[in-house]
Amino acid sequence: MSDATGPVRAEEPLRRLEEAEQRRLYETVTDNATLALFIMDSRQRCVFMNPAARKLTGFTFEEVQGRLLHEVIHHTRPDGAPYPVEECPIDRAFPTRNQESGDDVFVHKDGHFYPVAFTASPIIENGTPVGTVIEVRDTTLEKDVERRLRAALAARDEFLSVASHELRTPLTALSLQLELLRKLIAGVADGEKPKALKNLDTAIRQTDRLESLIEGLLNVSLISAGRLQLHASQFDLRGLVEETVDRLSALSARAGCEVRLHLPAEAMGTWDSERLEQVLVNLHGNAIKYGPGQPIEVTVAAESDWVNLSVKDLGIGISAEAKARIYGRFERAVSTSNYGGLGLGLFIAQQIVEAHGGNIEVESVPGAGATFTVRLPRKTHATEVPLTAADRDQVGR
Amino acid sequence: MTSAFILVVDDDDDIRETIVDALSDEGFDAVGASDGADALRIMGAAAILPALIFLDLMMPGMSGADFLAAQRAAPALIAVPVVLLSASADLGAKAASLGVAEFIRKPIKLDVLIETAKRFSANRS
Repeated sequence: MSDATGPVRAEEPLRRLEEAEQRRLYETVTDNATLALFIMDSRQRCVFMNPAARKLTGFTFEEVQGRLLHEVIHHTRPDGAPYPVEECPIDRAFPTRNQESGDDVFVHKDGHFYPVAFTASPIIENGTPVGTVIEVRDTTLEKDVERRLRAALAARDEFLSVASHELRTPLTALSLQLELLRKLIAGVADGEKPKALKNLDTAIRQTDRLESLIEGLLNVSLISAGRLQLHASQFDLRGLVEETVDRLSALSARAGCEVRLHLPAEAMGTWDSERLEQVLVNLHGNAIKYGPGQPIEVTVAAESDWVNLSVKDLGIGISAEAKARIYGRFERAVSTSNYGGLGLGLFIAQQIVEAHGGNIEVESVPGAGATFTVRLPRKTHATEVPLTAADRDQVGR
Repeated sequence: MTSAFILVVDDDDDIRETIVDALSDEGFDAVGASDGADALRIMGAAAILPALIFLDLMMPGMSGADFLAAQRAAPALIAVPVVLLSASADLGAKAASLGVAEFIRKPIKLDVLIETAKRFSANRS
């Protein structure tokens, strides 16, 4: 008899010791975890809370034990409306046997709401769900940082919008006065006339440049605020390209760039002419900037449902590394110590093209130039976006 | 040379006077108004209606939008065409919401201004 029971007696304390050791190990983990941990049984009642969970919720385990966890910490939405347990994703993990995770808002014991990120995992034993383990992290700080960041971005965009509006107003009188002065001087027969005209042309060119910089700032603020709107009408892209290239001819000539146009028999489509002109101006501006003294080829090619517009230069080209980021806001392919500009041209161009349902691509070999191709559907997907209340306020002002 | 009556409504003195000068140089009978109420007063006192109104939007007193509402409420003025002149970023959307067919974004190019004035005065005659 003693032979039969002896070994059992010897193993029992050892097993207990191991279990106690294991429990201590678990407790060390759960007691020191910064994540709040809860366990709910098969009736969604709380059977475990670690110290971080007690700290997070304000409740002791004794206050929560055996109660529906949802009814203790998740019963009300931040707007004061009741949060039915049937709609709670945490309580869904058990019946669906699926892990649920997401962001939500809990109610503290003292009544205040706090944002959390949670993961609820069903506990499966022998193929049967027996409960749910819930990990919860307080995201108050993250949400606060996010809110401040959003507010700062909105303030920046608002500033850009207001600043560019304010800068354009004096520029209106200034550029019109310069043009009037040019007309006046052109009509005067005088030996000093050519010099005066040259000076004025420089002044006009600089105001144009200022205008284009302000336009860039204004557009980036519109895009950031999601307020870039298209006003599509049907027209032939050839006309717009010809007019724009002609308008920029003085700029091209000054940079020593001969612009060669290649146009198809027709290129009708429904687009926002003002915005597409801007795309061409930006691409043309880059071609001049990075390929002075070299020819530029502007090509329009028509397909049945699409029209392609490409601008090819023989300038410095774009490295493979830079290709991935040139469409980013305030990005540029080259060092700011070599080239000026706000780094907005391609960002704006891409946003406009994509708003039309098209895309923009670049082919380039560093040192051998770049070809930007804009692909536009003949009929834009863009629909008129109604004005926001803020727009309406501005209209009234 | 045409002598069509054109009304320029803008609260910025320099902009208004420059546009009036530019149009006058082209032979238009251009008159400036500093806000919507001023424009309504001028039209009320004038013997003929303008061939075109260049209208700024953001003005103290009666804004461009308020002026358009008043114009539409007055049967005698409703037919006068309006072209918006504004530095507003989303001018196209604003023009559409206000039911104005044409707009010019500031800064304005002289040739665009003159061409617009000529086109509207030609349509009228």
